[in-house]
Amino acid sequence: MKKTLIGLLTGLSFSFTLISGPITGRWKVYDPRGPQFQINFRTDNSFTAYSNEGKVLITGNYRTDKDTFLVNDLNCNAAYWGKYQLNIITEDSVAFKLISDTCSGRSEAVNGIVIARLKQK
Amino acid sequence: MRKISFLVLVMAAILVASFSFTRRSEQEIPQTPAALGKMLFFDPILSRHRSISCSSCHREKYAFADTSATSIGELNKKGSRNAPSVMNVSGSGSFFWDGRASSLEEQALIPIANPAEMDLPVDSAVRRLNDDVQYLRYFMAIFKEKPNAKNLGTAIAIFEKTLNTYNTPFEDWQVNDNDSAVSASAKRGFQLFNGKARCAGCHFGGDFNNGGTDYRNIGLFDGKQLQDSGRAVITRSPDDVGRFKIPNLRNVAITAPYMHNGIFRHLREVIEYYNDPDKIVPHPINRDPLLSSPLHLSEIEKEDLENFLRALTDKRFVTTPE
Ligand code: HEC
Ligand code: HEC
Repeated sequence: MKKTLIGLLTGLSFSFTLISGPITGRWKVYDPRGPQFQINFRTDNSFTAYSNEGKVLITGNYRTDKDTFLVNDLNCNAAYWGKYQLNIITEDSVAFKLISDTCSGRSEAVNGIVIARLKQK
Repeated sequence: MRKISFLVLVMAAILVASFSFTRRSEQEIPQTPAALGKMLFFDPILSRHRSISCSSCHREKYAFADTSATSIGELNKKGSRNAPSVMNVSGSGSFFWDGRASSLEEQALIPIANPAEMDLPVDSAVRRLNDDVQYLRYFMAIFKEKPNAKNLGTAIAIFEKTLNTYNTPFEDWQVNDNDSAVSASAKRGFQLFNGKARCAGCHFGGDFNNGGTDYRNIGLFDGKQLQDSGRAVITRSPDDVGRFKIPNLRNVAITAPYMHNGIFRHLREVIEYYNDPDKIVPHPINRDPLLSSPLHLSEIEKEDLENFLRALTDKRFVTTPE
């Protein structure tokens, strides 16, 4: 019993470190309040959000620190980083929750969205 | 008997021939509101003397913008503003340089009635469409009603909303991660656009126009040579003097001349202006604080910025020689 618990815990923490790492790659964004779009988080910490048809919507920079997501884009103040908590639902599905972001347009857009990893682009 | 039937046959043939002469071929018959809107956009039937259409000023080859600084209406009447592109307008929240129309449907009827443009009262335009057997048939088939001001505006607006262009080198680079889609110079230009050159302080979002509802004063109003006070005419607010809608920058390389009055003929002139506005308009009224100091761009940086703007041209226009 104990063993399985430990096994479960190590398994959990292992998978947690794995998935709480960089969220690089392409994701589909599900936002119940708005149109769907996609986002490309690159390894160089830049990102591009684009419509499903392939039109660039926003470009900017991001960072992750464990389950904290920091974002900076020109639609807001380029020197300011908004802060969100990443809730990892599964390895391929992550929800964003507002920690702090003075850019109201962005926090309205980001808080509560769920992204799902795109398998292949 | 034979003679008569022959005669009937010949007459029928003539009738059919003359009929099909004035009729549009089957292929041309619009099946959708967008196709009908397109037909209307290109048809001079909507101008008093049947001499110009929307496309006379919004020229397809130039991303549906005008190549003359200010547009020429019927009977060569000269307007006072530059005709912007009608592409990539579906995400815009207002129309005209001063934002006086809030929907494309509403906007579409205004140039028809404008005495300096098509000069045909909307009622008369609607009557003409009702008197035209073909249009009557198309409207009945598509809208299940006769032509009226509302479905006329709707058809044109729906057509305009189809004119979105994002098949560009910029998208190829940013969306497809194709690093060779744009030059190193254009990439530096994008950095400048977002940074040192301060362009993205106003031109941001998918169409680089902050949603098309933001009005700013870049210094092209001095109350003397430059008299168009822009947004203030609509709002009557002194703060809005000299403010104009932040324009869309998609396909901007082919929509010269630039600005509400068509004052700049080349992108390079636009960049020179932003680099040091005082040099070109020394006593502006109400100019935006973002433009209060010169940018000090080097010649290479100016070129980089221009190359970035050129990367916003849709591929359909690159293959069409000027
Ligand atoms: C005589 C030239 C001329 C004709 C004809 C003309 N336009 Fe325009 N159009 C202009 C000018 C000039 C402007 C800008 C006027 C202003 O901002 O005050 C404009 C603005 C517009 C805009 C606003 C774009 C934006 O981003 O704000 C749209 C849309 C438009 N026209 C569609 C049409 C349609 C549809 C027709 C035909 C029914 C038409 N135009 C006919 C000259 C013309
Ligand atoms: C303060 C806000 C602001 C900034 C900063 C700004 N623009 Fe603009 N831009 C505007 C507005 C508003 C207009 C229309 C002005 C007018 O017609 O009087 C405009 C017009 C333009 C046009 C002409 C488009 C057309 O279709 O006629 C271009 C090109 C352009 N800007 C590029 C740039 C570039 C490049 C930069 C950076 C060097 C820049 N802008 C910085 C607000 C801004």
